[in-house]
Amino acid sequence: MFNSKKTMIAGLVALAAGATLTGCNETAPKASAAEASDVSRIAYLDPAIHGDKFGTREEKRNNPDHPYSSEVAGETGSDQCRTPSGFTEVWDSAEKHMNSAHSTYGYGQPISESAITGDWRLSALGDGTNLPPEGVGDTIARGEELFQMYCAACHGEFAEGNGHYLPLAGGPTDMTDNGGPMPVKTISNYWPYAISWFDYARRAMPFFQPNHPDIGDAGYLAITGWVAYTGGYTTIDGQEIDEDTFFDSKLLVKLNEEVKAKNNVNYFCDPRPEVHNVRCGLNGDKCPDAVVGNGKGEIKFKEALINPVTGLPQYNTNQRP
Amino acid sequence: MTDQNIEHKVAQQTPESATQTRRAFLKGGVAVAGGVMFSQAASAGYDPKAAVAGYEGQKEITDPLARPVERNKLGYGVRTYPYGMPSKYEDHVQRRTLDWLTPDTYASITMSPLHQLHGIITPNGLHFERYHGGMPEIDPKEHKLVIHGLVERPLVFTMEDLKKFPAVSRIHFIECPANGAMEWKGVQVDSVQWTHGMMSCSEWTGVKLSTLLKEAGVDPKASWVIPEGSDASAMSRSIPMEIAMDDTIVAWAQNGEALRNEQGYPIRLVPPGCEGNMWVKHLRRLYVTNEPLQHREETSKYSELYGDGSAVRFSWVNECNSVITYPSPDFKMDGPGRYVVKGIAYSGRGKIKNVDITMDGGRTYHEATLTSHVLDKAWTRFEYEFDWDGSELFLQSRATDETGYTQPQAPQLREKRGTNPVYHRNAMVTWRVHAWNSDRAGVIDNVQF
Ligand code: HEC
Repeated sequence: MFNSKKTMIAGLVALAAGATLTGCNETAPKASAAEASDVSRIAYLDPAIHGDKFGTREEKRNNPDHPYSSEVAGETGSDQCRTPSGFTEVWDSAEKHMNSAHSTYGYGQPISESAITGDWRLSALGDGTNLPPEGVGDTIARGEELFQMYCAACHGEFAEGNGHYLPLAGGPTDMTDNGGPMPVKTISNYWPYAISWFDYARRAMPFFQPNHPDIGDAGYLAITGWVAYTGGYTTIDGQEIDEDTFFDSKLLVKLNEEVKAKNNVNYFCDPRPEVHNVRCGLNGDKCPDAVVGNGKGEIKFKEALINPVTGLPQYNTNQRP
Repeated sequence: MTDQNIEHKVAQQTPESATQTRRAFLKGGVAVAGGVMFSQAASAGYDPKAAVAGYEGQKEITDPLARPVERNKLGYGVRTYPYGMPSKYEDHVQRRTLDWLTPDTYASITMSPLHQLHGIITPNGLHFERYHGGMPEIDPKEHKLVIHGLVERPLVFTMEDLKKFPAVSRIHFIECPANGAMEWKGVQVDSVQWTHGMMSCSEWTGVKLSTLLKEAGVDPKASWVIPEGSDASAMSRSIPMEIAMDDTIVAWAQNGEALRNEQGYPIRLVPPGCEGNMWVKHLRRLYVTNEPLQHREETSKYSELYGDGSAVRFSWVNECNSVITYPSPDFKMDGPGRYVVKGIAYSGRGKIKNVDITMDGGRTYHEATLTSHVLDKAWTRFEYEFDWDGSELFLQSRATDETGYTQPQAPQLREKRGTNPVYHRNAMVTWRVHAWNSDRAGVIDNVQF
């Protein structure tokens, strides 16, 4: 089953050769400093497979064979991340489970796919699977109306958020760390997919009665259209959007491409472990400055303080709008 | 050296062996059942007079001890509490929340009181909670689990059906990846309950997910399983097939009893080592697909925004981490003397191998003793004894797991990721112990390098 995931197998084999780390059995605490420091035999930490030594993030993104590339060409063309080699290898082998025989217990009851509908089939996938049929939808104007009725009380009239109730549109375009508060994250600047925005709104919102029958699939699509429109998506696939635009799953799939082009390109797969420390400082050894105190060997530190204005802990500030 | 330390501890902790040893010692070393310990104690030069030297000069109680009040009457009878509760004197041990963290109590979190817990099992009533749409109370007779998608034969199971399957019981920690999230920009909170309490460790019992998937004839080419909960948020995630087919469990029990509501009654997913959000509660559906859902909880949330403005998603594993629970900011040192540092270490990648303690902010370390079972992806207890001379300390614990990965310092993570990732902050925390001769003598603060 894993032949599309050669890297994982390679990692598995490399590890199996060097270590016996499988199973969940209890062991007596063993402290062998020699063993612990011999990290090179562990494929998981092999810098050739892991970590920043393997090239820039840009290179990782553009090389589908890289274990941390976020594009792994699948049949649907949707973005996937591989299970990092080494993530499962210290556990029971997944492959072993897959390949061992199974004879039916027969405890369940067969069910037809067609019986799994409605609230049992909320998962809208990137390729359009499980989206409402084309033609089910409503105008952007209706989306705004519904938003004001069902959503604005918490998320704000302009989807700008309200205290801890999250903003749903807008936010900074510069998402880098400027030392100040964290940027707000919305469909405008962060969500990688419009389809999963629709998926979430329908399955979980409005908070007090999710998948609300009075909103319905058509209403959730219209709300998605309006929030995206408010959040700056004013043309979709070259088509100008306005209040009268009819928003259905056909347009949602196109919006999805716009959102992907804007935000999804910023996503990468898990690059950890990123820090490769050794167990320094034991038995008279002294750790290097880089891992002492502030990273320069100095004991300089910050303390927990209460913000005199808000009376709250100092870093609990509103997110950057 | 670790093994020796452990035996030394056992010798200290077993009262019978202590008596035996003492008696044997007095008899002049006649071999008894506790002979091994005795000879160790003897070779370590055990001297009863020296052993009590620390009490020299302390005020001695001379008033006769009073009769304890509970001896004056009968206690209560059996089945006064058909489901037992902790002693009323333990009512200060509670999970707690920080109001300023979340919008309301329905999309919120509580933390376990780590500084008041013992061993590696979290009592079910003190297990941290994380809700995304309030807590449903589900009738198990009505509950169903559906498996469908890329399977030969979609199936539906009742709770009764599920419990007939072969089951496993495994001890694993669960940690919300937002544990420590408030502290990327600096310290905010002064208790280990706030810095690390979004985690707990339990024995989980249930059927392996691989058994259920194969029972439905999972397509060997399928690559994702999408679990979905029956709570108001219909919580959902995408689990890669490797993890689903590995040690993931569909659990109905926690520490010997049915799951608590707060932990997903009647069933939850248990993907060991993975971030808590993937342990979908109130599990009602397993959807087998060839692509991930890219759900809100794996894109907008539970993804890490790095300093350079890019984001990391599908960061499933909780990396190796540890924390000192005593001494910690909920306590105060009471003068120079002997202290036993105690704490918890864990890794989502396997077993804990070593824990080291530093008192000088990371220049030099001392190896701690692992004092509990050492299990895969489970809490592991550690201790380290030292004599405090009253000087200022910067106490940290540093765990290493069996993959050889050693826990980083906070500046190292900030350098790699900036201060906006929110999730997966496994940096060492620093407890500053104020010098005994300072105006805050013995007070313990959370600080950050
Ligand atoms: C009663 C208050 C309330 C109402 C009304 C409400 N929401 Fe929410 N919304 C929330 C809360 C609380 C969350 C966060 C839930 C969580 O973290 O689990 C949220 C989260 C969201 C998110 C995810 C934001 C992000 O960036 O991750 C979206 C999208 C959303 N709501 C859309 C809607 C829509 C659309 C409606 C109207 C149909 C709506 N909400 C109505 C309270 C509300």
